[in-house]
Amino acid sequence: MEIMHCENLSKIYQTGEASVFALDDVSLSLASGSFTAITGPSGSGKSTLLHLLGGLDKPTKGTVYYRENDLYKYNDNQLSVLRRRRFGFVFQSYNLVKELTGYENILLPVMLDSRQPDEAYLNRIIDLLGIRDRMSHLPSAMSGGQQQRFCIARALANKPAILFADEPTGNLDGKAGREVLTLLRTVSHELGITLVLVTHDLHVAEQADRVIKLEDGKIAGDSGVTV
Amino acid sequence: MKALTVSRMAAARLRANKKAYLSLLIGIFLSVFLVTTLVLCIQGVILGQMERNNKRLGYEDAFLLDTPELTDGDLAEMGYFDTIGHVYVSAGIQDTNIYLGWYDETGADLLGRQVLEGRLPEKAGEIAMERSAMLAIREDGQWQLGEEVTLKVIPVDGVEEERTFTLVGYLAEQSNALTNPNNTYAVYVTGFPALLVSPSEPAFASGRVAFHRLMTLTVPISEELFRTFYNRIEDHVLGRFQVKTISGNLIDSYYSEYVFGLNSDAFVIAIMAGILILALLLSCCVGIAGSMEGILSGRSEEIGILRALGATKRQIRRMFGRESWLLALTAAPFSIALSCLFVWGLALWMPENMIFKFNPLLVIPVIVLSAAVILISGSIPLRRASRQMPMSVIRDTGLLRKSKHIRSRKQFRVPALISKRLVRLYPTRLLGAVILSALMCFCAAMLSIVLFQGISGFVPSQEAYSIMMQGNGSARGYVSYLPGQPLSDQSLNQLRSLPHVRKVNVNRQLRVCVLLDHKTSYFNAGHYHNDALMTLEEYTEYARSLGDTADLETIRQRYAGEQASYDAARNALGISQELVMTELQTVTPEKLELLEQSLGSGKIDLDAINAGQEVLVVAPQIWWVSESGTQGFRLIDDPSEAEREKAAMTVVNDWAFAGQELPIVQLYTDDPQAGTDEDGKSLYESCTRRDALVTIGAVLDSRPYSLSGMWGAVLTTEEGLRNMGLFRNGWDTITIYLDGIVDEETEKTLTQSVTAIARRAERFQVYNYMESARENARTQLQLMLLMGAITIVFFAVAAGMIVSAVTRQLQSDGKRIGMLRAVGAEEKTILRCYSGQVFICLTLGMVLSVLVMAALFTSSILNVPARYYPGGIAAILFFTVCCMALCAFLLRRRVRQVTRGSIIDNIREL
Repeated sequence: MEIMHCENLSKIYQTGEASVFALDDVSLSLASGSFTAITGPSGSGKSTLLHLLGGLDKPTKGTVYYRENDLYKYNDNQLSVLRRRRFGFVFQSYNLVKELTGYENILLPVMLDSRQPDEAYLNRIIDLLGIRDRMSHLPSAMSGGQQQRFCIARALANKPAILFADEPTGNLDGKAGREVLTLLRTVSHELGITLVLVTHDLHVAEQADRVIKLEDGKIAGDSGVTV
Repeated sequence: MKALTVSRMAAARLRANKKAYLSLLIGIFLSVFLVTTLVLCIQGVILGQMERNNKRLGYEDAFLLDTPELTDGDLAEMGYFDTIGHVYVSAGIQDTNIYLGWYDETGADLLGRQVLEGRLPEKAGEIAMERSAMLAIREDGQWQLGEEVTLKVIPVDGVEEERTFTLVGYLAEQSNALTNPNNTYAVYVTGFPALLVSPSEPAFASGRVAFHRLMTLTVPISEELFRTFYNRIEDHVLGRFQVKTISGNLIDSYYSEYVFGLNSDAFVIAIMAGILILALLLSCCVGIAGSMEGILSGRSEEIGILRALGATKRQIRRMFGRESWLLALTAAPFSIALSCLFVWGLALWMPENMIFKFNPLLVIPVIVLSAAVILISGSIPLRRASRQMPMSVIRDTGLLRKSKHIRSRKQFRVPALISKRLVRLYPTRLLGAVILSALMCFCAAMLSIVLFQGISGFVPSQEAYSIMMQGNGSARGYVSYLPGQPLSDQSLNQLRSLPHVRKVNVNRQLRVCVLLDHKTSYFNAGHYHNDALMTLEEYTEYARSLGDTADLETIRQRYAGEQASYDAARNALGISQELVMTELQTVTPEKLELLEQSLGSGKIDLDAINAGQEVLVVAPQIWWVSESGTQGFRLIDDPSEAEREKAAMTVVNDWAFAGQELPIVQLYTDDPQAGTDEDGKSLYESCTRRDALVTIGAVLDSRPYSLSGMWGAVLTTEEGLRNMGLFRNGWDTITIYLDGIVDEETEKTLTQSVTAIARRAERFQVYNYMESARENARTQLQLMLLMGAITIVFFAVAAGMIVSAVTRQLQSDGKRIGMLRAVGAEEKTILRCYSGQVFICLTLGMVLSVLVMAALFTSSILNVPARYYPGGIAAILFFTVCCMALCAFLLRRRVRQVTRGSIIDNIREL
């Protein structure tokens, strides 16, 4: 069952008089509960596509539908609500709020939604990610791998429908990267979350249900439509 | 290829980061502009007011009313005066206080008489006059220039005659301003001429020509100089020597302490203006340092990388410091030029009240100070930034040290937690904003005091008319002259009911005697000096202190003569006790309540006072007279001070105590000639006598300025006076205030009505201050507008600095905002994260400024009068509320600017 699709998605950056096509007329759909990897060389438009799908940036052309609703017809506040309730994001550079402790960072989307945290659920995630002993530390007191785990926990805190991960292992060594990837797969599988992951590491991509390859902003290959 | 110098690198960085440096550039520009403008405005207003006072009162520093017994040579010998001019007065107009006369060349230069229409008289038979004088002389219309004017004049000490002149000019008002309404003695001598004739005008058939001297001082007046020379002159010419103060007031001996009261206010205002400028400079320091810190925090990684590449701390400081210098060199000349232009424009707009003077001695320190401010304020954050280790800058390890104080929350409101956490983790970042806010609040309080109080000090509320009795209390010895036809309550009510009359103030002072069991010299420093009340030793010591070199035998004979005439008076009155003259004043019950603050002993019982059973007495416990023998007594709190001050004479209250009975005798006559051609004995037998026996309810330890009585004065209420059985003979002085400024036609009608009412009473004259009131109103309006302009400039700059200090984080916080947006924070949530910090900063700043103000105001150095406090606190509150509103508005705009871009742009900003 389709959870999200995009049509003719383009993103053009103006640099002086020249136009750079970061994404050029991309259309695709994502199945609910699937694990999709987006790969391609640097500058191929992987991250741009992820950001546009997640409503973090606005396309120059085209639309993104989440459960048949056009994301870019939402106003800023509606999009914010959607992001904190339905989407989760994991960034390569973690992007934790450095003034909040690990646990406070996890709680951020829940608290922004003015809801009571589901402690049992949060404890399950925390245990799954193995970060219980760093909960009261500030991000600057954590290693890269630990920060990424907290970032994943934050992305999962609101039981999102889709988890977007932008090169989550890019800043980690091989062992830590593998651990994070395993965790992402396990958690999303266990919780039934759709996982969209950007990577240029083919070993990572191999573990996905579906691999979309981008080149020069266009889809150069798609291992299969899983809708 | 050009060599890569630090300046070139700095210039290149400035070009590349125009947006980031704009706030620093604006900060430097506004800081220099604000300080320069304020300094030039304060200087301009002071110069303007001095010039205005000079135009109103002349350029002389002091004058001496008709004193033929002193020659110009005597005055010149004293060494205090370098110019002496003369004003000659040959006659007066009957039943008025208007005089006719001319000036010598120096006198004319000093008084700088302005002609409103026509010209000054050039030959005999010509006359120029003040408009108020014309209104007082001719009730049925205005004389036209060129018209023949026939006046009935009374030459000084002469007989009435008539003379015809040709009117050649109307003069600006001046003669009334030169009459000191506080100086009761001045009414004995002629005033200054409101009717000006040529020096070649033929003499009148009878009488003499009186003359007043105008003097300029060799050095500016100081309290010490005033006391020294005043006493030497005043000994000869009691009440006829007047000194002009910087605030345009005239002072004489009786009110000498009043001028020092005024001067101390001026001193407080000057000190506060100084503190204000220093606080502004400090604010600029904090503002610039904050902007620099903002820039550096946004470029901390760049600094870390430069350090990692081997740049020394000194090189880092030079690289970034040069940037602020280049900015300062660009901004400062423009801001100083703009500030001069601004103040010059203000001075053009209000030429009567402000003078623009480009004083390099004033501007150079401003430039030096501004340079110092930029140097110091830029170097503080630079030093801090360059001190950090390369990786600690890159990895932000500073937070690790602070993290042990952080307690992780299980539930929270996101904006509140982030606001508090940012304040907690980056105290120095916000400290600048708190200090800036405190300084600006403090500046707002100072500005309110300096401007509002300064203006009210410079431009006092001007009465429109005053009605005074000529020769008040001028009877001989202990007997006062009270006219048969005084100004009655009915007249007072009629004055109150005249159109446009807002307020009518009245004053009643009676000359009375108190009977004491022993002699006291306590009163001798006051109004009613009586040598007979001294012991021979005190008399001799006093004579010596005045420079009297007579031998002891001569002094003894003089003393015996004083005693004999004193005893004769007591015998004639059948009084065995000591007879001490003083004055009895009536005060309103409201004013009586205010006297609580001056209470020395006893208590103020309004019922007993109203019943005529009790009175209050103004009798501070200890006073001392300076070694130079001046009569300016001063209260001393600490007896050892008298020794430190080398007091020649200490006077202790040995006559008035709470609970003590006080017999009062009132002696008066309604015959103005009584006692002039007969001996004292028959005067004492023919005068009316009234006795009262009262109890001293309370003794006042100081005399509030609102009360014009002397030490030794007896105070009661109108009801108390009636119940004491003493004679109430109308009012001595009536002062009339209008509800606004009236046109000339209304003034004419009002003057006629006021004059008609005053003429019902015997020997009362009307003084018309309408022109001064008009001028004061114009001045007040212009100064208020100026104050408004300065306040707006100040507020705009101050609020801009504070807003910039608290919102500059937003510029470097794009990443944090992006993160929050990515996890679903709405715009209002982000706004609250920052507005919470603004609220914390401004509240802390406000509290801090109130504490600083309280500490400073109550310190022994300043000891600011309590009446300034409410205005200061109101200014702080107003300023804070306005700042909060402005900050909220600007924050919303800035947050919108940040959130207008995509989240990815925010996150990638760094």
